[in-house]
Amino acid sequence: MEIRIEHLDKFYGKKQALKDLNLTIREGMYGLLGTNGAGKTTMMKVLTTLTKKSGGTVSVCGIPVEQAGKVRAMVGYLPQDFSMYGGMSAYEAMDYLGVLSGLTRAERKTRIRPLLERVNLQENGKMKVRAMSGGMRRRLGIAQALLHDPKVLIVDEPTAGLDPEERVRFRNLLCEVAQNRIVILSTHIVGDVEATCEQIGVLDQGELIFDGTVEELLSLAEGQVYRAEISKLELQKVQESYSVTSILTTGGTAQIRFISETPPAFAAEVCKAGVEDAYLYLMHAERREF
Amino acid sequence: MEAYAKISKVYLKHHLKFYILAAVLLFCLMPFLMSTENLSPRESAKTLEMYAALLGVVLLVPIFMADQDKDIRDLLRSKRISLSLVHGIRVIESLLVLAAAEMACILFLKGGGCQFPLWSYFFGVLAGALFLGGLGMAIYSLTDNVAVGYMIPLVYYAINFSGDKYVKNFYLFSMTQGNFLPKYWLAMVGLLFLLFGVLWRRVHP
Amino acid sequence: MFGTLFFKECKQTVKSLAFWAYVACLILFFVSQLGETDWRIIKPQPGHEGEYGHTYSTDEGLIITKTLRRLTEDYAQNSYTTYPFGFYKRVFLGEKKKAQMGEILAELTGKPVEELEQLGYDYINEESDFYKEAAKSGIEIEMAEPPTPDFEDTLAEGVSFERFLELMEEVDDLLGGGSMYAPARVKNGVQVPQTYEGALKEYQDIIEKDRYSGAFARLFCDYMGLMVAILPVFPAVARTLRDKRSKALPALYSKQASSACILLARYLALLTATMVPIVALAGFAQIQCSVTAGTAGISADTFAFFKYVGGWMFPTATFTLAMGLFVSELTGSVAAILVQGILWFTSVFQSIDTLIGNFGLKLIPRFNSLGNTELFERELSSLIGNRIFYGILSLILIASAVFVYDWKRKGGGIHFGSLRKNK
Repeated sequence: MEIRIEHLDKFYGKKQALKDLNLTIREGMYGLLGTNGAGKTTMMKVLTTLTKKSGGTVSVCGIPVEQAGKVRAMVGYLPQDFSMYGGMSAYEAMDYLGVLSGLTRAERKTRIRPLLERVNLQENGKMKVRAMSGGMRRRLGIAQALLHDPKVLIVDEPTAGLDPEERVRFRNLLCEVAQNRIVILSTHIVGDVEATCEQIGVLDQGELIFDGTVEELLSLAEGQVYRAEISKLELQKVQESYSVTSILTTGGTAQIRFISETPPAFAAEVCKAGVEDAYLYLMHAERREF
Repeated sequence: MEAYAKISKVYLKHHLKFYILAAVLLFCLMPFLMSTENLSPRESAKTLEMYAALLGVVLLVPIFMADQDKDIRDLLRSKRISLSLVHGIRVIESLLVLAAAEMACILFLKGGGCQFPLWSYFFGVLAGALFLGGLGMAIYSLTDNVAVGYMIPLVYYAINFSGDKYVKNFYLFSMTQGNFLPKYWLAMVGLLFLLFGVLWRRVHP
Repeated sequence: MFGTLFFKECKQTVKSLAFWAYVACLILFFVSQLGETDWRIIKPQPGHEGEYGHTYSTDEGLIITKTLRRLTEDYAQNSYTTYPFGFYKRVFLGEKKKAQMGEILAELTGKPVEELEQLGYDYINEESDFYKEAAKSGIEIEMAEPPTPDFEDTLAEGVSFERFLELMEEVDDLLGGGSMYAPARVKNGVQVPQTYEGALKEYQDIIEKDRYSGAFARLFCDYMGLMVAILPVFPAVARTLRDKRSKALPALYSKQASSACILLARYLALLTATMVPIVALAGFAQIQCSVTAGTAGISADTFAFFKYVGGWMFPTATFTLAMGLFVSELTGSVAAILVQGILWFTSVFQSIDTLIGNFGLKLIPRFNSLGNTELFERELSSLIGNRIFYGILSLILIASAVFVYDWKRKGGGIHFGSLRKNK
């Protein structure tokens, strides 16, 4: 059970959205990081057969994406903005989408209720989609994506716009469903990935600039993250010459974290890199912005 | 089979019902806008071709409205049953409703004592409706803009007011002149339009 | 702020597909209806009787003869055209009323009812001689149309014009009103072939009163009015739905600009975009017209097309757009197309049998005739009244649209028929 991507190219007109992507994704949670417009959604659309690739080969569990029907039977997809005909109730929406996934009436009957329970919507089966809050809609989205028990679950920006509590709950839900499945999660929020994914890929301007475990990502930035306490007056000057990842000001001083490949010219101590530091280090290294 | 029934049921319940409502409204307005009683064959043809045929626009053009929202469209496309099949089911369903609506108009005229051959007129008015509706639906598919999809068939209809000089075998009001030949062309091309609309939507979602 | 918003709306409109489809449809319609217009007007020469077209005569004898012929035909077919409430409607009389009509006809023509009835029998009964003949020659019975009856029809002796009008009143009542036989309509005159003198007078009217291009401008407005009464609704609907589709409404609603400012800028931009292509086409026609006139040594009115477009078509455009914005704001759907479509259809069929004048309150005033200047001048005041009416309606509609927009902005809305305030 794996997703294999080789030399994947995707053009929109002259603009290249994906450049020679090579990647193998195995069972478990895979986090796809990248800025907005890095190509995450495009890649997911290729995997869900919603967009034709321009070049390369992509196979999902051994089946090339050209065989759209077979791939769709294995893949569950939750788009960035999940929505359904507003007049439908949650149950109706699940039922209809189940039909489109090729489920029989009996299968739908036995699966929908437990799934709604699992995403904590058991009380809301009759609620109209248009009346649902963002979080509820997102949960309904994950339920419908799981309806045909797919081997692969692809989730685009699942936590954007959710409140912190909802976000944690949603992450946990994803972790649960990742048992015996491939779950690909795209996000530009590093925290989501840090908490849930072992494997991480980082996309930047259509290129895969990192593919590995969280530890590997952290080791990249090891010894290059510094902490220092400086005067507020110096802050602007430091920001101009270093890539500062966090600032905490108290009174006249500022505690900062920053990334530097060489030891800085002022008093600072090396500290342990977090995923966020490592991610920013990676982006800056790629763009040579030190 | 159950799946097809479900797909058509959902279309009926959440979308088609509005278009049927519009068609019913137009049907009810018919006796006020057109003459409907004791008509000769040609006068009956006029009512049917100039009025009843417009039901095709009402029922066939908005086939893709249900998944106009790009997010919904993507979601539906990611499912195993292809969206084209869903569209095909909707087309067939709308065609059945259209046929029923045209038959209702025909029977209304018959009930009003109009003289005309029932089945050939039924085919004739259906052909015109199919062409106008198919044209709009194909344009909608092509432009992804429903307003333009309604616009083109209406302009085509208006151009027909000045006779068949430009439209030749695609003249909408030929039955009024006792000529049935254009009806075969209209029906055939109308069906091709519908097919094209569904296929284009598949290639350019 | 309003000015900037207006220009931004114009830019958006010009970039939209619906606008270019509108332009394409206008051009298509112009070419198909007016593309082959002969812009020349030939001065009539004496000695071509019967080739001068038609005019209207108010000669009493002629009115009676023509009206009686028509009535006999209608009676024979038992089919009468009426316009109750201005809508075209065909009326058929039941046994009792038909007998009454026969009596009136008998009094007028002095012919026995039986003779008249034989005519009717021939016309509708499949057992009649006519249909037997038709069946013999292999014509499908339902497609065969008997020839219209033709017999000398003069007023019976002793019937005065006043009595004739009285009887016409009765006829009109029998038909439920609004028929072609209503005394007011009958007195308007009947169509007769134009004479040389009449044709010459008409020609001079076109040259002097219309200054040549005015006559063509009327024809232009007659045809293009058909399009202006429906097409602008499409860009209007597309524009309104774009906000909804792109889910931009919350962002737009929360801005400082007043609802009136937002909607008026949109309305005026759409109106500009609607009128510019019309004016361009009018200019194109004006040039052809002026040049042709110039070649014939006549100096044409250079602004006739623009004057007519401004007075005649502009109110149609303002109304159509206002209706489009109002209904689509109210329903958030394409329902405006249906509403305007029905209005358009109604208006088109209101005048399908009288393409000249009779403006009433029709949304699309028709004057499908080159010349006929005198008739037009007679009806000009009713046209002006009609246009002012639609101008006022436009204002009311656009004010209502602003009101609806403001109401929705504050949380109101319509959902499947039920009103909703503050969701």
